Amino acid sequence: MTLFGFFAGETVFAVQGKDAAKIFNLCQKESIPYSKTAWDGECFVMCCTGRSVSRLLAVCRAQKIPLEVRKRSGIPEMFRRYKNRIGLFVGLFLSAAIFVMSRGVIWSISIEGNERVTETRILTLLAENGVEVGASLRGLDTHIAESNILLAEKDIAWITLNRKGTSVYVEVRETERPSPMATGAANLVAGFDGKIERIEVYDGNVVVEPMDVVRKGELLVSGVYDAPMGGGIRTTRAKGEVFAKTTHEYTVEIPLKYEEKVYTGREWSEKTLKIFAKDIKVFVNTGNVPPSCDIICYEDRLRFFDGKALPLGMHTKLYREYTYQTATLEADTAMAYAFDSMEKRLTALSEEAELLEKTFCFELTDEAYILNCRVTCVQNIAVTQEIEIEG
Amino acid sequence: MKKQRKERLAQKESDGMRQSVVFGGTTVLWQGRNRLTVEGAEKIGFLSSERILVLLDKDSLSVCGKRLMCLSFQGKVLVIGGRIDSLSYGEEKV
Repeated sequence: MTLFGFFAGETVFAVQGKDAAKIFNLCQKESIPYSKTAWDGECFVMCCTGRSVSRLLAVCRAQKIPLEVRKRSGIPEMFRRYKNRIGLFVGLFLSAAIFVMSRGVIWSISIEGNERVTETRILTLLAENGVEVGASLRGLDTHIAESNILLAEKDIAWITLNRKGTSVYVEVRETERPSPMATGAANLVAGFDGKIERIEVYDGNVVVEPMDVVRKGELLVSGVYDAPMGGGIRTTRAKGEVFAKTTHEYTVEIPLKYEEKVYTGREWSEKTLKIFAKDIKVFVNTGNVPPSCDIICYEDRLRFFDGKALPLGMHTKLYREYTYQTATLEADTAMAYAFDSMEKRLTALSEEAELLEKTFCFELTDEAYILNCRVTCVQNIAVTQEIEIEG
Repeated sequence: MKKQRKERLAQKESDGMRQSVVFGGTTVLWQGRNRLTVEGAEKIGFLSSERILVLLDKDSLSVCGKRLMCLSFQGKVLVIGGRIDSLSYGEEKV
């Protein structure tokens, strides 16, 4: 079918073979255009489009030539077929109207460049300045919105809003926080009990020596110097690392009886249709929501083939009821859990200490599996302690 | 330049008129075996898939063949498609 045939409507006629010559003569005389002439057995078929259909029918009626309509197609035929279905036309009209109107509103907002400031916070700030999904693009002043957001959020150093069609792309640069530089006088004290192995001090007055045994809180490097000749004292901020052999004891206790969360199988859901910024509840599962239930929210958004999300989707809130049941753990399983947990602790310790030795011992009671570990390691035990100077 | 073109056109037209007076007002153009153009056709006297009778001003033209079909008939120009076996003039009149 040609494009003209689709819009103007196309009709396939069939006549008896004996009348074929008459039809051609009539079309020639009345200048009625036609196409796709062919034989179909004893019948002759031809195709007419647009107004030529009614003209041919009228001429054939006048000449009493029997003309059979084989097939009608195109937009006029669609209208004729569905003319009684008003809802369809209303729906089409509304769809077209929504489409036209939606060209004037924001369909999507994408944010880039934020790390500390959350996307939710930025979206809230944008919404306060009239930039949100569903908001009108007419009268949108991005410069004012940018200025207001900069004033409202101190963690944003620079923001720009770029419009591309019905999408708004937001680029953010966050302020850089200077790391707090401690400048006051301070000592280094022991964070753990231990036997000193080596000392690496960059500033301060060392008051311990290798092979010394120190207790937690004991002074290692002083930030105070005695000035010679009775000239008072001089303070500094002690800096350095004091490595000592320390011993740590870790205990992991896995109870053999515990409360297990079990889903009962009862579920409730609420479905909300999201169109731009509007929420329309389309399906609410009535029933009293129990106090103990998990709430799972997920959103299915319509997407283009390239994955770009449309401002239309279904938001579902699913309630899953659960109860707690007492469960018993086998000793082997409890032991596996205990070693797994202990391994994590030792891994964390090994990041800041050099492990020398570790000794495990366990105890199985009626209540729990208890795993003890004694670790010997070399680590930096120096902890900065500020000096408060009065006056 | 324009004048020369006009004179050439007038010459061509007068040649055509002379030719139609001498040879008759019908032109038949047979292209291969599948297409026949008849200029000066008045009516189609008979149409079937094996024979088409074209009525001319003073006589008629019978086209025989297989799967014959009138492709278009506008003004006095008739285009026939299909496998054309023979052409013959007859005495039928409009």
